[in-house]
Amino acid sequence: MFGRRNRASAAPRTRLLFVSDLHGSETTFAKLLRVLELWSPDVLVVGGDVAGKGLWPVIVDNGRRRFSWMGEEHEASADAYAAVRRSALQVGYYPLELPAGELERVQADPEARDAAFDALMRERWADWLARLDARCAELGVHAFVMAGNDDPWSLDDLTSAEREWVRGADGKVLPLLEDGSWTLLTCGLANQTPWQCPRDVTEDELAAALDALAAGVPDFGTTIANIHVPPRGFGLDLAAELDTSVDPPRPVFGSQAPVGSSAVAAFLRARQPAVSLHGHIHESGGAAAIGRTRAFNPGSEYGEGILRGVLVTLRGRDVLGHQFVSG
Amino acid sequence: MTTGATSPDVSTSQPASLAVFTRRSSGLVRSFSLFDAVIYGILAAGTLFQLLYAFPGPQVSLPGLSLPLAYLLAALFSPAVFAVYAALGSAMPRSGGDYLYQSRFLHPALGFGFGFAWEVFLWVTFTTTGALLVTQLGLGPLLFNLSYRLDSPGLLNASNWFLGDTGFLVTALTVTLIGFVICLSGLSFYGKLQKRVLLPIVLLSNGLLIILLARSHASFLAHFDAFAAQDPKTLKTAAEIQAAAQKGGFVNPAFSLRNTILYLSIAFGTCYVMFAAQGLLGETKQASNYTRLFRAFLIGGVYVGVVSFIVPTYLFEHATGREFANAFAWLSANGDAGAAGGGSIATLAMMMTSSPVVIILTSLGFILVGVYFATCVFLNMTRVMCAMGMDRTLPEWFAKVSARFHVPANAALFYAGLAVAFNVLYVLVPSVQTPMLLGGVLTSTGMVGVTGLCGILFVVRGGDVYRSSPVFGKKVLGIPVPAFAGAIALIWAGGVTIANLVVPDLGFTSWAARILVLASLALSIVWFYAYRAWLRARRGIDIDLAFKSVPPE
Repeated sequence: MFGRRNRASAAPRTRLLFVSDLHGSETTFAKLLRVLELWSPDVLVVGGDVAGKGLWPVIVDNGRRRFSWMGEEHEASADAYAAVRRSALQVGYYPLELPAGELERVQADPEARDAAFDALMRERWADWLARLDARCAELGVHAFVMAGNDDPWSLDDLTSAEREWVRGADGKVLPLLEDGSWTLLTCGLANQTPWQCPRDVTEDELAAALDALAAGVPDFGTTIANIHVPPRGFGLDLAAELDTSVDPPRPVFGSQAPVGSSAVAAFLRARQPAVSLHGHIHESGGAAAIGRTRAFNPGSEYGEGILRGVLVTLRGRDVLGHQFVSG
Repeated sequence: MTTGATSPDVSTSQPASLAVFTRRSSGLVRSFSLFDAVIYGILAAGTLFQLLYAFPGPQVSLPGLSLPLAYLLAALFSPAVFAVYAALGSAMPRSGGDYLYQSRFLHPALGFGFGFAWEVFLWVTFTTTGALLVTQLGLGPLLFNLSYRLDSPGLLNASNWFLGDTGFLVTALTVTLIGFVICLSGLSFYGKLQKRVLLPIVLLSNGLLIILLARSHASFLAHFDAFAAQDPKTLKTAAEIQAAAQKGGFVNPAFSLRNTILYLSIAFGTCYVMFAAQGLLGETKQASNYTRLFRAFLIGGVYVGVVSFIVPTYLFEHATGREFANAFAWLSANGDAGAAGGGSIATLAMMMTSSPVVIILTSLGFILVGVYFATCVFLNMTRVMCAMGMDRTLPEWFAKVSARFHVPANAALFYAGLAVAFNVLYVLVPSVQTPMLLGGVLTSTGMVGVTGLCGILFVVRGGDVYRSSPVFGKKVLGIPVPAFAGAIALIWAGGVTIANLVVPDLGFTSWAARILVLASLALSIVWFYAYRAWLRARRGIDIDLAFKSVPPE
């Protein structure tokens, strides 16, 4: 009515859903499978930190279960235990259900304990990937997954295994859409944290990894940078300052500080991808503009079983809009 | 790394530990404790603050009321309110409070409408209220009493200046500026401030007020008359006040249960101990623990209800004697009671001592609470606006976190502008003063009523969110706790809100007041639908997605 539409406005819209930091939470992952239908994304990007953090010992004793929950020890029937187990899965725990003697043996041997932990993490991640692939196939959604700095390296062979709909994207530059009009650059590394996580690296190493990936990008104007750690100093990386004199580090009351990566900030300033997607700092969800780059961190509330994400709408070469969502 | 208790039932030489083994991973983050939230709530619920409303206004507009009985009734109902907010807060331990609950369980448009109109917009009047607290209960009485204790006419002039329009406006703008600056300094700075400075002084002030008022009627009259004797030309003795009132037609009213209940429209604000839910739960440890959250609200509620209001108002009525208090109030409203300095509870209490130090310490609490009130509104409403911006019911601009200040600075700037405009309006247009002064209190109560309804809907429509919440399975008389407590909160707070809009004695039934409350709500709802349509057409954003419950796979 007021003039001809340009080519971009006539182009179809693509809706990208980005979620991150599920940390093994079964409830949150189940919600992710559900929103692939409810929120109707065309593309899904899972931004790392998929593994849970806690191994939850449960003594199996003649149909009864003994366990500790919310600071108190319980003995319960299998049925009563099932309800608590659901809560444990919601917060991302891995139940280690063994008879008392066997549990003692595993706990007494750090290698056996770590192996049991690793096996359970792999088991859940493999299960998640299979369920996600099936769901994406059902709905026709292309998905990209990666590890975050918290995730052990042992998950990588599962992540990068060949699947039809879910692709391992870590350390790669891949076409985001089938027509090749958008590119996804992915990096799950992070700058050093006080916890010394598996994929923590120095800022120099992170900068070098990002530069190496940048060499494979055809056009940053239509590139989405999926980098687990947020850039330092743009409001997406504020966390409680930590007292590192104790192990594990403890938050210092009333003191916040930016903890993102200066290498990522420099990379985004210099390369100016259209969009950058981040996780890592759960409590610092938000959006920021870094020159022409629109940076997003949806935050995470996996412990409460709440899925948080951001929907980014693309049209032609444009980023039309974004919307934070939670469920 | 494994720590914790071992199972006593496993009889082995080295029993298996039931403690969770946590691998090395980055983690956790919430830095506010429930104790911090309690302090925040105690201050937000108005330790000392409500005494601004308690005397001398209600004794004239609601003759025969009993202040301590009204506050006792409010205290009796408050556990239901705390239960609703603890249930919803522990199920969704995020910032946003009423807006979050109402938009998710009632309706997105209503949640935004009530949240923006009745909280964000009308609570800006609390900056005005905060300034009134500073001038009428803090600086005015302080300078008035000191002027006689130190024999300084200059201090009396200063007292009168602060109680006038110019002094009030300067105070209001200063209070607004302080709130804005503290807001920019961040919640963590505020956390230190409230624990180390604000709470100790307020508690001291509250304690001194009780000590000053804890006396017999004869002692009160003797001190009152001794104070008046310092300036017989200006100040009246107690007998002169009562004589002047009777000459003017004053008749001491009998006790009125009706008017005591109507005063609940004010006294209800003491429930706002759960105010922390608006802005802090997203940053509070153990906020997902229903029992502890409820207990935290309850501890704060008992303190505020008993120590801040029931005891001081009881002592005040006992010391002054109801007849003298009513005569003083009547004369204040109809002429000159002969007591400047605001003629408030604070003024009368400070007359009971000749110590400048006690006077200063008592008033300091009122001044700090007034400044705090503005700050609290800034801290909370900027986070509510930020939540709205994240949902895209407000433009993204409101949700932008400043890289320099690490807070939603745009929202704070917007709020500072709104506060300045409201405070100028308050001084320039006298007819809006009563609606503004009562608007924030009324809508606070209204929001509790609407959130009470959400407590019921949480059980009915909450689905998996309810079933996975810590309050699931908890019942009272066979009724789920959120529904039971929600029904009480709805009936009580809803009743008080409706009473405010229809009972003329409460001073909120002018068209200006009704338009302020109802038109702002209607306009906010219209905004929601218009902005939603625009976003969908122009930005490919469907904001309805932000409000839909997501069941697991």
